[in-house]
Amino acid sequence: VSAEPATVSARARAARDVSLVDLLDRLLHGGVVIHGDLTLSAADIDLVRLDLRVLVAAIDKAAGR
Amino acid sequence: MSLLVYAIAEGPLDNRGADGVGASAVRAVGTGGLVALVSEHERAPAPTEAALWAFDEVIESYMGDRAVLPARFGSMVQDAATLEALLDDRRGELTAKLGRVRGAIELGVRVSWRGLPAGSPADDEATGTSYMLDRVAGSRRARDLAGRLDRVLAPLARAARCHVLARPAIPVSASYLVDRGRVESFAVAVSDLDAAIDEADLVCTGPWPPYSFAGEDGDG
Repeated sequence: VSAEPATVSARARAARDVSLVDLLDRLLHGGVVIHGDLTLSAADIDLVRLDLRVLVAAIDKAAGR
Repeated sequence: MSLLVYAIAEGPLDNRGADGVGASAVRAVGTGGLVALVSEHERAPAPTEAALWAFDEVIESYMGDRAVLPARFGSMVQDAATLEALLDDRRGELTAKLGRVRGAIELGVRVSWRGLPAGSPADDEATGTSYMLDRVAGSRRARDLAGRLDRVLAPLARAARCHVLARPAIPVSASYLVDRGRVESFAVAVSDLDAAIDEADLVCTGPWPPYSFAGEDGDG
């Protein structure tokens, strides 16, 4: 980590597969939940979660662990 | 068209014409001290790798000069009027949360075992009993390691979140809300800790927008 924050794209290019795991965990579990009139249906949300799980599983596998 | 919400930010905010997910234009919705960064989409964008990085880059491009609260990916609101009403309803809560992250960024620390951990999925030939014993030992080692991280790093941060064994490959994954002025000393502390711990490697990631500190208390 440098003293001055590097851009995320620089970080991504430096260690993309590694950083993607960190990014996914944050985007999936973190962040403020904006309620209101969500246009995502329950089925859509399940699909989003499924896509992310598949991606994470692929990353874990690619990491050789 | 509906709005994909990237973050809540302190306003007022100039529209910078930044590109968001799918090269859509990012703009600010809201008034006064509280705005939301959004872009228009026919439907919720698919969570492709490119979309996730684009989402993160938008938030990062605004966090340099103001407090931002990242939204969870996929938050869609039907129109600007609905979003403005929502911001008004939650003004007190969101303003307080912005105050908690102002002047700080998130740093991640991810731990991996050197060599395969006990109880890893690679132990295919282990018997059921030894497999379970290995799992228990691995879990205890992970918790011990998490405690060690916490003792050294938590005092350097405003807030900390630690996940033990959230993934098989990652025994400990922690996030820290760190004052901008302490980023360098925090990174040095992680590096020192990495050198001092023989059985594991520590990787410091970030700076991130404060994803892990934007949610509900204890649920970030």
